[in-house]
Amino acid sequence: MKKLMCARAEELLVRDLDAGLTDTERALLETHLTGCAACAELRQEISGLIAALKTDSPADPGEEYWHRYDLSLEAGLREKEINPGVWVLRWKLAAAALCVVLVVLAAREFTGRPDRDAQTLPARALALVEDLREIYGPVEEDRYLSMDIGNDAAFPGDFRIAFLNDGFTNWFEVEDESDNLLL
Amino acid sequence: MNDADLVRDFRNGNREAFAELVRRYSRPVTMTILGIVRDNEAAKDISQHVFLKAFEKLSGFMFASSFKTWLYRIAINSARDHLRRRKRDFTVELNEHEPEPGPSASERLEQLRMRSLLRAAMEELPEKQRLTLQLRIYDEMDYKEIAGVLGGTEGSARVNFFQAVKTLRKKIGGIDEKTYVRKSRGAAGS
Repeated sequence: MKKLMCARAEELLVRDLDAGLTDTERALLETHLTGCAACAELRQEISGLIAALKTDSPADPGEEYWHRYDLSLEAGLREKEINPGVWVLRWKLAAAALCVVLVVLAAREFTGRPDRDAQTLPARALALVEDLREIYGPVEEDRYLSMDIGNDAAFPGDFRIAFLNDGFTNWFEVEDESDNLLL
Repeated sequence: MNDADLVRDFRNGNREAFAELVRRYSRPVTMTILGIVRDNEAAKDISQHVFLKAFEKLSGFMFASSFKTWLYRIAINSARDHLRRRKRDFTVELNEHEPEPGPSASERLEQLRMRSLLRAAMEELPEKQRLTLQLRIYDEMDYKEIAGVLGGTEGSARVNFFQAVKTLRKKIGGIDEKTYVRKSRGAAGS
């Protein structure tokens, strides 16, 4: 029981250094200390330790030191104040340049930009078709192009295919004339 | 005007508000750092770095803790980084703090020896215990503030302090409260 009380007293002694004891705890501790020489000595030891630690706190380096400190900190802060300004200016310039680039790109997109592929692909495709014709003869599409589009016999059924756009098959239209035929 | 008001003022563009924060905290923060690194010039550099960092980051300060806690957290972390980088030579410079006048030459010698022992013992403490002890004794912070600076709870800060005192007492033994020399009885490891 005594041992347990001493362990508890030791904890209370440390807390007592911080004035962290309740009235009840303080009373308990004082009662214990009056009857326990070891814990009373422990209190002195701890107090001595804390006092010694306090004396070992670093000494004030002196006014000259603080003067130098203030000067260099002030200079550092001034530099920090200037530098953000430079960075802000740089960011503004970068943002402006980016805006110009975006505007140019958008303008090219919407005002018919010269698309290299768009111009060269049909020419290359036509050249390829020509090559294929030479190798394999007329392709199916050529056959339809050579047909008489006014001749119904060429297109059995109810459909007439009208080739538009100067005969080249970019697109075609299908007219359903079945109703007319019935009439 | 309290710290939080000064922080808000600074964020609204009042540079003088930051100057006031520097006036309030530059010395205590530098002394705390000095207590950790034990080197005047290094402490000056680290402390200035702390304030420059605070100047830079204050716009993002979220008031999750007090300005003081936030600033000390930066200071402690910077000091720890410095120690890690330098792997400090723990040779104790005893002439930086003259012993209290009055006692005899032999007592003064014993005080110096005591101080040397004390520092060596402190250096052997786990980092968190050592920093807790320093913040509690040198900076007189309460446990809530210590927990804010070092992380953890108020209770864990109290336990760290308690453990640190216990360990030092075991290593050094009794110290006379008035003369700061080791008591002959119960002295350990001499």
